[in-house]
Amino acid sequence: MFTLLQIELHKIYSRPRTYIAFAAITAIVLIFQFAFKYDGQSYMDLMLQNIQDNFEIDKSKAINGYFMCYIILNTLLIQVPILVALVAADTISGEANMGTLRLMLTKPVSRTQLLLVKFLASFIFTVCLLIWMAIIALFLSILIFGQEDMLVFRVKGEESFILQITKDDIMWRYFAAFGYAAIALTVIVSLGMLLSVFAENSIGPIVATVCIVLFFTIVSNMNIPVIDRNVKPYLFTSYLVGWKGFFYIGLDCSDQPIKGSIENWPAIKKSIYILLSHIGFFLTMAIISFRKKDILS
Amino acid sequence: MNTVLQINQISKSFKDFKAVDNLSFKVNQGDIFGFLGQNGAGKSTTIRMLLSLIQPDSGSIEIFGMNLNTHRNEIVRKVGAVIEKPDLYKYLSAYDNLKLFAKMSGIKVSKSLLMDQLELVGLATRYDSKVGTFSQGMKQRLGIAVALVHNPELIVLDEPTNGLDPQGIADIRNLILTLSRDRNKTILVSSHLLSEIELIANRMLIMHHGKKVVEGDVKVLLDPSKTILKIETGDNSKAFELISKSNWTKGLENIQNQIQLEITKSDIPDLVRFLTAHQTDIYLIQNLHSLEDYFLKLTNPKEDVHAVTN
Repeated sequence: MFTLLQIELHKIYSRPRTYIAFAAITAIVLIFQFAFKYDGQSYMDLMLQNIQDNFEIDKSKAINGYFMCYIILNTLLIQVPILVALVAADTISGEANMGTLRLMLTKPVSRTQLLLVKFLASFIFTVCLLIWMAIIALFLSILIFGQEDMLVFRVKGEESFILQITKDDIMWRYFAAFGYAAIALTVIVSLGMLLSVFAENSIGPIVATVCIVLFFTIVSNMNIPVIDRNVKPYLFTSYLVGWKGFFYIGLDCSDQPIKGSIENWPAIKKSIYILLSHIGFFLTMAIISFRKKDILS
Repeated sequence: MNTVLQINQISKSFKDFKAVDNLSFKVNQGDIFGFLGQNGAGKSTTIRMLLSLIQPDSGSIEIFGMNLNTHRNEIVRKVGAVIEKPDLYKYLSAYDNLKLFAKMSGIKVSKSLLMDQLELVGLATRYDSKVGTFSQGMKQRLGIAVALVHNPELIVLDEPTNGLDPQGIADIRNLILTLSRDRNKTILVSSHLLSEIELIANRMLIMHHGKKVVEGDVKVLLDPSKTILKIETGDNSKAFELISKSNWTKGLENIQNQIQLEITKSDIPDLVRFLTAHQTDIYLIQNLHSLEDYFLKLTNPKEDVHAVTN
């Protein structure tokens, strides 16, 4: 199994297209950092225009490494599923398209083993992508903008407000958020693999995965009560942004942040279970379908 | 002689299209077994079934005396295959491709082993070149190296000369003969060219529309003094029993309601007299006097066959 995993990783990292995702993330992050370095104050003014009347903020410290990473993650974690789909949805169909799938399946490796190894390799790719994001979006931002307390802008119902997290209470939240993002993106990996099993070329499952993610994300962001109640709970995309929960700090009865707390841990836990069950379902369906598949490519 | 591969009445349909219909044959140890048929005859489907890429609808496949369904991994460890054009990873070098598939075969991989294989197929000097830069013939040879790297006992080559120039075809042919003669490999090689099979195989089978048409020793099938005879009678069971008690039992088979046997041409009138003497009506007697003629006849189904009735 370890040898097979090594082989799969070797294949993934030998392909130039794998690095498109890393290059895209790097470019977006650098643009953000450049823009905020030279004109971050305008962004802060815009964000604070409704709030600063009743909240005193030192704007020079508001734009710091932690804040930058939060802003970047808010943007990137919508695009990253597409980058993950590029690799995951290609795993089986890409091999079928190249004609290498039939050769692999003439080797003493079971189809279940092969699929699990490909899943694991795609998962590792996803984790590497997140680690790279952490390096440039968090650590590089800290180097450029420094470390200060972090402000989190939050909209809850009709209300907009700001949460302040002290700088010694932030890093663990980022580790947890990246961990959550890894689980969320693994749902995309397993969905991409499932669709990949049915296709003989990469384009179909990649486009299908991206379309499903985009369509579900749009529906997940609709604020219509009937959809909120009856549709959103069943869409995995509703849980992809659950990482933000780690930055919603718990408040005491006088609305003061409680260090080391999370406002709604049970909701995060429930989201994690739902995401894991999606991974289990997609992966099981992929294995069942792949085992029965006639290799005609 | 040990049977390496035994296929028992396998069939496979794709929706309404029957790709392989009740096919049975066997390959013995040391054979170069030619698997002949036009494009679309069902050769590749059969080969994919015996490599467990496709599941047959019915029938069974035994390789090295083991059932393919229940002992797949044990079997494929001893089988090497090139299926149609060998597609490899274009972005990897020849050496890396070979190493990757050797590791998948579960063998201990060393540089000398891999270089030996590349030497065998004449690619040692290009070991570091990306496969994307290779010609079709070079890819084909690398595909064969991949098939051989784990030292398999049975080698399955599906149309290995497709798309090759005459020199490439000759190289592959020589390689097959070398593998059989020097390394005692059992080889199943499919082709749509009788001339190709004739040059390398000792036994052969012809398929047409998913069915077996004829199977036997190449020398016998192509011997001008001998022939394969197909007979259809009013009562094939009775005729089969009668012939099986006669002197004409070589290659005797009852294939899809037609009796088939190997016979010397001069014995054909005696056989006809023998059957009619036992009150057997003969509706059709087909003399496959030239296998090449017969094979060409398959490509032109309007051609008549001789019929004799009493």
